[in-house]
This record gives sequence, C-alpha cells and structure tokens, in this order.
Amino acid sequence: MEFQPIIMAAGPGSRLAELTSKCPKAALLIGNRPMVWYPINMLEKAGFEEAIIIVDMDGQAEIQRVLTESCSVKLHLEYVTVSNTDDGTADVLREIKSKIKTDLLIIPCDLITDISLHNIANLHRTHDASLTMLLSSLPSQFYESVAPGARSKKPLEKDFFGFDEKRERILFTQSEADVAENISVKKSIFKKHPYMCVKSGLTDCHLYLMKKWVVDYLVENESLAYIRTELVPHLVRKQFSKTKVKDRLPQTNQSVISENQKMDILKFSTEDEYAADIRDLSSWNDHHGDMADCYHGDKIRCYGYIQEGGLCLRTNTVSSYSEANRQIQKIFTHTGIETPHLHPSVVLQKKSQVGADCVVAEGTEIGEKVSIKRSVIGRNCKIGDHVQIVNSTLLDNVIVEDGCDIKGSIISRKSVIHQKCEITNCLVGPGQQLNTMGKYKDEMIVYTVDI
Amino acid sequence: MASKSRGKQRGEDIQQEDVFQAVVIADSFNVRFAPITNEKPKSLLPLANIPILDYTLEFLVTAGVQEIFVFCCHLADQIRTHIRQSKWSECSSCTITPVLSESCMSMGDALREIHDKSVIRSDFVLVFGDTVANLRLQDVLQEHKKRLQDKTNPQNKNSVMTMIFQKVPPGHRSRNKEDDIFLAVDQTSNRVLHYQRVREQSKLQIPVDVLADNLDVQLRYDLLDSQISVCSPEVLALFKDNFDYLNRDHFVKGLLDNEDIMEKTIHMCVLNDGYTGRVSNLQMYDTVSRDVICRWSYPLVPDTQTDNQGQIISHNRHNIYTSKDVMLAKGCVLEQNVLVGRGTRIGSNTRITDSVIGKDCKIGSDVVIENAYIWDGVTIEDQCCVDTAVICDNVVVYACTSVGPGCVLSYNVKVGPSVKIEARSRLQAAKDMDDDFGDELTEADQDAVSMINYGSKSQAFLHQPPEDSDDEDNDLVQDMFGLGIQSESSTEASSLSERSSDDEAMLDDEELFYSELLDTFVKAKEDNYNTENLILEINSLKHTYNIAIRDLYGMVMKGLIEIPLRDSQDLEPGAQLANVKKNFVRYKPLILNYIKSEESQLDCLHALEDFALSNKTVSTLLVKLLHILYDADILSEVVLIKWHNMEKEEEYKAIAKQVAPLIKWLEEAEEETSDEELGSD
Repeated sequence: MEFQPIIMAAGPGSRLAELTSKCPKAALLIGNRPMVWYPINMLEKAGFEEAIIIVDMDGQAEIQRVLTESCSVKLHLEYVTVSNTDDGTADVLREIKSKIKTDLLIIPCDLITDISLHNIANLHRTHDASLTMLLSSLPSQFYESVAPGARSKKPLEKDFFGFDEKRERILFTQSEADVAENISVKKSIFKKHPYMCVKSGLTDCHLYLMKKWVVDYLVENESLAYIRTELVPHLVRKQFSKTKVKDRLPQTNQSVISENQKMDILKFSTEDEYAADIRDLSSWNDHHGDMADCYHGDKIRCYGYIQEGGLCLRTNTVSSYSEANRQIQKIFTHTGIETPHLHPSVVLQKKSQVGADCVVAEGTEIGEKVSIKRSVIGRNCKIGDHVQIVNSTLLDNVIVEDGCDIKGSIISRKSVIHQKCEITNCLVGPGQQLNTMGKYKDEMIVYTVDI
Repeated sequence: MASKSRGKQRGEDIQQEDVFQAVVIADSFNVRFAPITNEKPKSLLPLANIPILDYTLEFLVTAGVQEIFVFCCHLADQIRTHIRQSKWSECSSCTITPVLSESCMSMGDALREIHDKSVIRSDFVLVFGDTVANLRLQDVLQEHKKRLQDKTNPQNKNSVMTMIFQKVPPGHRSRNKEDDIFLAVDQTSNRVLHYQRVREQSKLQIPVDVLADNLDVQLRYDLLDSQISVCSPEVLALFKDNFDYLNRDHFVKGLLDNEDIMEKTIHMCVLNDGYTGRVSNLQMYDTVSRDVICRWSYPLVPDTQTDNQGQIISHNRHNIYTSKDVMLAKGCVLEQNVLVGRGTRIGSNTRITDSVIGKDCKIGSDVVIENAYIWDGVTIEDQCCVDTAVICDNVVVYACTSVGPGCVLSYNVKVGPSVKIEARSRLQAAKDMDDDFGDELTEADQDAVSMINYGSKSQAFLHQPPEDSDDEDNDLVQDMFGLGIQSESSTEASSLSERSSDDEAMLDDEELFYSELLDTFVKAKEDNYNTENLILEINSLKHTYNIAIRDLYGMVMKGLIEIPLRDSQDLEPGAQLANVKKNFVRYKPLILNYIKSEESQLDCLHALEDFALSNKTVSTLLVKLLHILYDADILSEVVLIKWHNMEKEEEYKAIAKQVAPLIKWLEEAEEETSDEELGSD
C-alpha cells in the first residue's frame, strides 16, 4: 500500500456550531447523506480498501449509525478515537503514530470533490515530494452567498500561495490576516526561483499527501499542533533551510539557545537512496536558467495541486453547507451518485411540485399545492398544504405545517414550524418550535424559544 | 472594400498616417564613465569600434521607426555633428533630428523639453542612446495600441506605457547589477503592479494589496530591464505635470503609487527572442561588447556594419574579426573573440584574446592582451600586459608595463615603462581642474607621485570621482568592472539571510527574532540610537516574537559579538577582538540593563558557550571575550567560577578546559584579595 488514508472526522465543526451542538459535524447530512460519506466514497472509487477514520469519543456511535443507515460503505473503516478533544490535527497524527506504516493521505471529512486522487498522487510521485496538497479555486457563489442566520457576509480571508514557474511547487504560504502591509520573501528564494506566481483565490482543501518521516518529525517536535496552520507553513519554510554548519564541520555541533529543542528537520527528511541516485544520473531537471542541481538540492519539497474546474468544496461553514445542499444535484452528477430526486416512499399529494434540483428522502409526506425548489428535505418530514420551500435545507423529522413559506434557510432535526410561518434566511436549530404566523428574517433560532 | 462604411474607412486612413516616432536620450546623466566622458559624450564611445549611438539608431531604423529625436545634452555639438556626418543623414525612410539642450539635468528634464517642443504626435518609443538591441518593436507597438482600444477594461485603456523586458535569470552575465529589478505583474493582463529596484536587502517586500487585489500575480526577479518603452504621448504630459519625476523609475513609482488618483496604468511585455543590452556602466560595456563580438546581437555585428570610411571587416573562426590591412607579425596569436581595426600592426609572439582593438594601433611584441578594450591610435610597446581594461584613444603604454584589471586609461594618457598599474585605477592625461586647492600636494609633488606610480615617461593623473555625487545609486555598484562574476556569491555569503539560516535548528520564532535583533543592532549603529530607544526596540521585539527573557539575555550577547565579528571577518583575530571590545564599551549600558543578576549572567555564559561551539572564531576568542566582560564588570568572578564548576555535558568539556587558566587566575586573584582582607584584620 503506497498511501495510508486517514479521514479526519473528529473536528468539532466550530464554524457550524449552531448545527453541530447535538450532532457531530461528520454526521451532518448533505443531500441526506452524512458529510463523511463523500470522502469515503472518493476513497472507494480510487480503489482503497481500508482507511483510518479519526473520530471524537462522543461522536463515534452517531457517525457509525448514520453511515450504516443512509448508505452502504464497502471501505473497511478503522475507527480511532482521540483522547483529548482539544487536540489539533497534527496532535492526532502524533497520537496514532504506531498505526502509520507508509506515506499518508489525509482527507478532511468535509471535502466534497470529484477530483481524481491519481492526479495528486502523480504530482507527489513525480517530484518525490514531502508534502502535496490539494488547492482549489473556490467557485464564487460559495463566498458570495450569505449564510443563513447571518445578516452580513463575513469578509473572506485570503491565503496567498507562491508557486514556482510551473505552478506546482509551493514556495511560500501566507495568510492575509498575518501580514500588515508587506510580505517579505527572502531574496535567496528568488535567486532560486526568479519567476514566482502568487495566487490568492485558492482554498486549501486540507487534503494532504505526506511522507511518513513528517510524522516522525512531528513526534520529535511537539510544538506543532495543527497541520494546516502550523505544520504546512513550517514545512514550506523549511524547504529552503540549509544543512547546518555542524554537518559540514564535525566536532563543532550544537546551535545556540535552542539547546532543548534542537532537532534538525533535515535529519528526518531522508530520501530513498536509489531515487536520489537515479535523479543525479538522469538529465532531467525541474528548472532551467541556472546550472544548479535538480531542485537546487532541496530535500524538503512541498507541492500543490491546483484544481481548475470540476467540483471541489468544503462544507465547513454554514454558508458553504447550505450552498452544498442547494447544489446537491450538481454534486450527485459530478460524484457519480445515482439517487432519484424523490425517494419512492415519498408521499406527494396532488398539485404539489418538487423541482428536479431537489432531493427528498424516504418517509416524507408532502401535502397539497406545495412547491419545493432547490431544496433538500430529510427523512420522515411532514410538510403540510400550501407550503413553499425555496433554497432551503430541511433535516430529518421536520414538521412544517400548512401555509408556511421558507426561503434560504436551514431547519434542523425535529423542529416544528407552525402554521403560516414566514422564514427567510434563517438557521433553525434542532428541536425548535416556531410560532404560528411568526415572521423571521436573518435570524439564528437556536435556543429554546418561548411559546 | 465597397461594403465597408465610409466612417470606418476614414478611421483606417487616419491610423495609417501615424508616424512611428522614437525619442533617444543620448545622455545618461551620470559620471560612470568618467573621466572618458569628459571629452566625448557617452553615446559616441566606440563599442566594437562603432559609436554606441549608431547601434541604437540602426536598431530603431530596422524596427521601422520613421522619425527619431535624439536628445543630446552633454557635449551636444559632437552628437549633432556625428549624426550629420553619418549615413543616417541621407536615409530616406527615417528622419533623425537632434534636439539640443545643455541645461538638462535628468531624463525628466529632457522629456519635459520635448513636450514643450510638441513634436510627438502619437505613441512613441523611448530609448537611451546607449542601447544595443535587435528587438521587434512593431509587435510591442501593436500590442500597446490594441490595449488602448480595449473599451471593456479601463485598466487596459488607461495604459500609458509598455515596458520591454527580457528574461535573464539571476547570475547571468548580462544581468546589470544596477538594474536589478523586482516586479509584480498581473498574470492575465501583464499590468505592472509593483516595481522595485533591488539593493543589498536580504528580503524583498511585496505589498499585500498587490497580492490581495489580483488573483494571479507573477513575481519576477528574472527580468532584465531593457529601458526601452513604448509610450503614449501622455507620458510627456505626465512628466510635465510632475516636475519631481527625474527618471523613469520615479515615473513608474509615481504612477503605481497614485494609481487610484491618476488612473493611469503601466503594462509590460517580455520578449523571449532578440537581444538587448544597455551600456550603462563599465561592466555592461564589457558585457555588451562581448555579446556583439559573439554575435548575440545579430545583425548588429562588426562585419555587417561599415563606418563612414567604408571599413570592411571579415569574420573568421573563433569570432576573430580583422580588417584587410591589419598587419600581424609572425608568431602572434589571436585566440578568440578578437576584433582588430583597420591599420593596426601587431608584433610577434603577442597573444590577444577576448579583446577589441581599434584603428591604427601599434602593439609591440610579446604583449599579452586579455579582455581589454583598446580604442584608436593606441601604442602598446613590447612585453606589456593588459588585462580587463579600457584604453582610450592615443594612449601610450611604454614597454614592460602591466595594466591591472579594471583600469581605465583616458585619452592621451602615457604610462610606463616598467611599472605595474594598480588594479581599478582611472587615469587621465590632465589634472582635475577643480582639484587645485584643498589638495595639499603641490603640482611638482603630484608630478613626482605620478612618476613613481605610473613610470618615468608617464603622463597620467589619478581621476578623483566627484565626492558630492547626489546620484543616490551611484555608489552602489560603481566599479563592478574587472571584478568578475564571483563578487555576487561573496556578497551573498555575508548577507544576513544566509547567516540566519545557518542556525536552522532554532525554532522559527527565535530564528526570526534573532535576525530582527541583528537588524536592529545594525540600524542602531547606523542611526545612532541612544540606549533607551534601543532597549525599547528590543523589548518590543521580544514581545512580538514571544521570547523568554532568559533566551533574550543570550541572544543580545550573541548579537553584540556577532555583528562586530561579521564586520571584521577578514581581519586578524586581534583586530576582531578590538572591534568586539569597542562594541561592548559602546553598548555597556544596554548589557547592564539586561544582565544584572547572577542568573542572567549565567544565562549569558551558557549562550556564549553555545555560540563558541557553533562558531570557530568565537571559540578561539572565547577566553579573551570572557576576560573583557569580566574587566567591564559585566560578569562577576563568582559567577564565572560557579559556571566553570557546574556539571558539563561532553561537548562543553573542551570549553571548560579552554577557560581553565582564566578561572584559575580569577580564583587566585580572589584568594589574594581575601588574603589581604585577612591580613588587614
């Protein structure tokens, strides 16, 4: 096995807090399938037979239940629970070190994409990379749409990625939030890569291919807690670090001050001897313009695969979650899932219309003269007469009484919307009761509402 | 044709009447070629025996320019006469008009002058009169015009300039160190977003806005600025309006900084084929000459061009160019890349390589000439040796003289016999006029000095570059000529970035902090901070990088040692030590501010210990350093002894051994004092 897939499904989903208070993030339904099913599906299609899935102690049962309930999973999943919920993603890797035998493929549970993993793997293999990551240019609707329950959209924080001339190797990363006026880049990097492309519209999909030594290094270097925010920038920076003086001059080892934490990353980044020899002997070079060795002798190399076109989104915020549900049919076609948009068990009364871009799950009853467009309706919902649902997501067991008008909202499980409510752009938490004739706009209805 | 509307036809007619114009700035407004340019304008200096200006004009005429304005300033008459006598005067496809103005001080003044004359009617090409190029300007012009007609994108429509670049990666020979530029360009539109000249700094700063406002930005450090640009006529007006623009850099920077107000944009294009080079300094003179000899600038090569006397030059293997009437004595060798002008005689057993020799020169026998540029009428007697030098018209080098690398011998200079001219001297035949007073040497003394330095038959005086040169980039790379390519790597080695990356094992914060700390020290020295401000700076740095106070002690001490050591790298250990000591004295208040308690002294000692392990110089100097610190009352003997007696790890043992004598001395001294105390009791 070349890569060992690890699905990170223990995240608390802090940006989806209103939805995840009673349900682990990975088990949230998108198009009536749990979020984590999408990466599992991708792995299955790429031919993987087993995977490690990192889950929260509390969430494991729920995730397992939802997975078996809503879809069949052929992949053999090994559930690993994290002991400490505050652990970062890199901490998790450190914890499961004993299970890691080969290079890693790390996938977040909230990634929905139709990209073929082979493309990323090929880039990783070509350059014998230390780290390869998937970057995607966000479709504009994902950051332009207003999240249900929020009055204004949040400004999007941009990440800058500096690439080499071929737009493959990552030379620097920097988040817009971390810099004031100027970004400074060492001139020595420009000497090696005088042509650099900086892209600002890319999102890190949190999908990484990683050498096994990186985990060994993590075990030594305990200060790195998160993959995205700490480990990746660290590795990208270390690409251009040089072998220390002490390796060249034996005897005079030890650097100053950091005597407690000294560990040279270059000691870990061992390359396959034969691969290095082959590269030395071959006439192939990754750059031109100077006479330097391939990769300028850099042992650590980080690459980024930029996905152009296709489908790639992360459902880690309320707005992207609701947008994913709105575009569910597109997602289904891209990922090759065949689901009828109306489950055979759905009871549909006369004169009701359900758009072809909707998904309605089993056991749901829909009353007369109902119109549903661009929406997802969960299991065992009851929708009364004369209801209009547009651009919305209804999770399982929601009851919508007659004459309601729901636009651009998310209604969580077991909520009851009483008659003639008008809900626009709201987020309704689980188990809420909304008053008859109530009018709600841009609201976050999460805690108990007085009736 | 008939189907087209009349209006459109008229539009086309107007376009066809556009005359392709060019402005040549035949002055560089600096003294990089002094003293040669005191007598001849730079654009008339011979490059491969042809005046540089001729290359520029040939390039423009070949590129289809129909009207050229040559702006002359310094020694303008010579340029006017040259143009009048040249073949261009009767060129039918192109008219060349010299524009004379002796009062201009900068390129900005020149463009303002041209604006006042209102001769420019359409898009034009702006070049310097020292450009050798064979680019296809028509394509760039078309691109520029197309951009202006783009109604959909205001940024395209508002473009006033298209700068032309060539891809030249760092380290390339023809990369001009003065024109080391760094550029941010929008990927899709080729709009210039940021333009900066790279100096000695180890890090390049890119404004965040530039990256945030554009999805796809190219950062280019691999470009050579040809200083050729296609401009809209508005450029002249903009120069007129902003009289503080002195050169194109100011213009570009001004436009980019005020893009929202002025609403003007600048674009660029990279030409991948073709050649361009600017003879902006001696180093570039060397590079461009060689490129011409090696035919990179084809068709602008010696054998295709004839001067007004119909000089015909033949091209042979190994890039040897000779005129018909050149006399080569028996046994003389022209190795490669050599151009010899008409009427020159070369003696026997003389060896010449990578050089240009002008008309009517006399070269003796057993002479070695390498990489030299010898102009017309020069006499070089027997057994001379010339390496990497420029020798101007009518110079005489008497027998057995050796001219070192980087020398410039101006017109009519005589040197020798049997002397060695020191490398990088610039000699002229007459004394500097304005140097008379202020100089303590009398004239006779000066003559005597020059006799000693430059030989008994010499007529040569050292050229003193003007000291009050206000051209800020003048001093930067003045004399790269004759230094060779290695200079780049040597400056590299001492640069801060490399140094800080040596200590990679430090955690990043500490690493960053330390490099910032070093920068702060350097800055403090330059700007003469007082101690309080320096302490404030360091404390704020400490907070930014979240450095423990104990680590700070060590790093401050390390920094105070490292900086003077770095400045005096090549000196004797004794001198290095003196430097460090001076630094300690200077920053004593600072040290005392941090290192007070016994504990902090210990921390500081540990840091020194580590530093000594990682740095050889420090380890040899360690004992002396400790002594200095002890003498300065920064470290107390109690602490030193305590430190020495502490349990050591294996690698520190050597150090302990090394400092043992010092400690012993301290202990004895202490005993003595305590003995005395006892005695007094």
